[in-house]
Amino acid sequence: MELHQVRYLLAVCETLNFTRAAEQCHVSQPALSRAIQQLEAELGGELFRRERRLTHITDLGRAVLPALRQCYESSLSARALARSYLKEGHPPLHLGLARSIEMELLSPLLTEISTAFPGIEVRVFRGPPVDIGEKLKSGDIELAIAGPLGDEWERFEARKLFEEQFGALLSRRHPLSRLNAIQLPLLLTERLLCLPHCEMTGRLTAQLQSLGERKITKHEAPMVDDLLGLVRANFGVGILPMARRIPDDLCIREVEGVDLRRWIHVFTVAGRPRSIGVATLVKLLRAKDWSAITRTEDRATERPQ
Amino acid sequence: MTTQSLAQALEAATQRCRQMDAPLTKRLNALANEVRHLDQSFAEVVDRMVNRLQQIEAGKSAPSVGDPMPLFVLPDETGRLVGLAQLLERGPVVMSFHRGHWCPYCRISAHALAGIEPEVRAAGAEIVLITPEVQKFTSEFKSDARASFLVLTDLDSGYALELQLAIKIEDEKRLAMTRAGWDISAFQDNENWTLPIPATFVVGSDGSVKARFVDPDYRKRMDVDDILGALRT
Repeated sequence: MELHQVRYLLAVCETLNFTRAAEQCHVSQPALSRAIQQLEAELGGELFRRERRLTHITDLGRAVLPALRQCYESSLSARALARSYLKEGHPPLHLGLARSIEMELLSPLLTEISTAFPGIEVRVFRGPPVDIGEKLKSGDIELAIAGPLGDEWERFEARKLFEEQFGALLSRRHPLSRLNAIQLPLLLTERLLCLPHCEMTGRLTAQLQSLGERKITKHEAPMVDDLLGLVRANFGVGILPMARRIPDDLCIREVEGVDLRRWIHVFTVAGRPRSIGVATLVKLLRAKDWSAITRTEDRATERPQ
Repeated sequence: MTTQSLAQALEAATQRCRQMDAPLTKRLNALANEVRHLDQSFAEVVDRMVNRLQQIEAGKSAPSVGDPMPLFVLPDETGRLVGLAQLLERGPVVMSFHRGHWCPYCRISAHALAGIEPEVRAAGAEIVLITPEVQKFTSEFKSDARASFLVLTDLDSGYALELQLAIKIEDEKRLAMTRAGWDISAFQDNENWTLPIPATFVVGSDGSVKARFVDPDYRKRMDVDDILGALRT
């Protein structure tokens, strides 16, 4: 495929009119038609039925379009990055992060961003999924890293990054900390401490209630640091991602009998112009090898006991 | 009888061909013969695809000798962004597009490139590989080749398209590849089934192409002796 062929194809898809597409691309109509024919020869079939006012895209055209569009957009962003690399004057990055996401996970990527775009500002919003979703819609944030947003808006583009498993955060003085994994019923008598609107704690309490306990005590702490402090002070059992790095006097144990895993995605909004900073960060997030984070057991053994 | 996928059946052959004491072209040919022997119908699908790409002269418009090489900034296998302009400040760059860590021809080629790294370095130059794969697989590719060169991720084949080197795998080949054990979607983090035409460029410190090898027949690669020759002139 050649870059201009794909560009012409996208223009015809948009206009469904070869003459208008040619105008839009600033080429003659025969040149545009020839390019589309070459693409058709490569892809092995017609991409459009040419019927003057009723020109329409074929099944083959429809099938290949998403791939070609993504490849084309990637090409534009690759070129834009090469042109603006190490230059100043980039708009700030507005990011939304789920509260459970450790900034340290992102710091290698943000280091690349701050080197590539000197002086770029990063503004981070942390909040519950629903707020992240609303801010994405309104354009207050351009990219979010979070679990499910609980909103099926068709313009959200979500790409899987890694699976996050939550566990029970305990002080090492807590008797349960001596267990490798905690059976769910053992948590019945514990007070739960979690981040606000924590979906996983919701799942956990629902499961505990199904065991017959009507009253589950749950306290929300606005920040992870608060959670650590409260657990240390023996106010209860925290609910946090198992891969999280925590001080040595605390530990995170797997909870058995309930599924506390969720996929973390990178979210953007389809069809919006994206700054080159955002486009680059999305590519870095997608290209990154997240397997070390997903394998929580490995991380747990790395931690000094 | 347990049925082995073509990918599994080719593993031993790939190792054997890599170690052959013969020019790269011969090693690649030996593998192509193995494929034909193991799975005639797969080989025929490949022939049909290659014929079609040759007919439309795919890759013909890629940068030619004397052209400026369009700049790239791509992440390496550790996630660090690498710019062609910055590499060229240190000397000539051998840029080689590979299909991925799963492709036996690419594995043979990457292994051969790793073999000439000392000579390339001695000539003041550097090799970089470019694949559409994410870091988990670029790092596997690198260690499998026992290479110290960078393996860069060209996500969604955007840079390949800029160089007129991206192709879309049509359904017949996609099904044949999936059956053979090569489902590339997970490697590329997309469902696009796009691949680069394997190509190698020797880019001089001035940023222009000194030598190029582009062949829509992915079983053929630039001979490593030709790369060294281009660096010496």
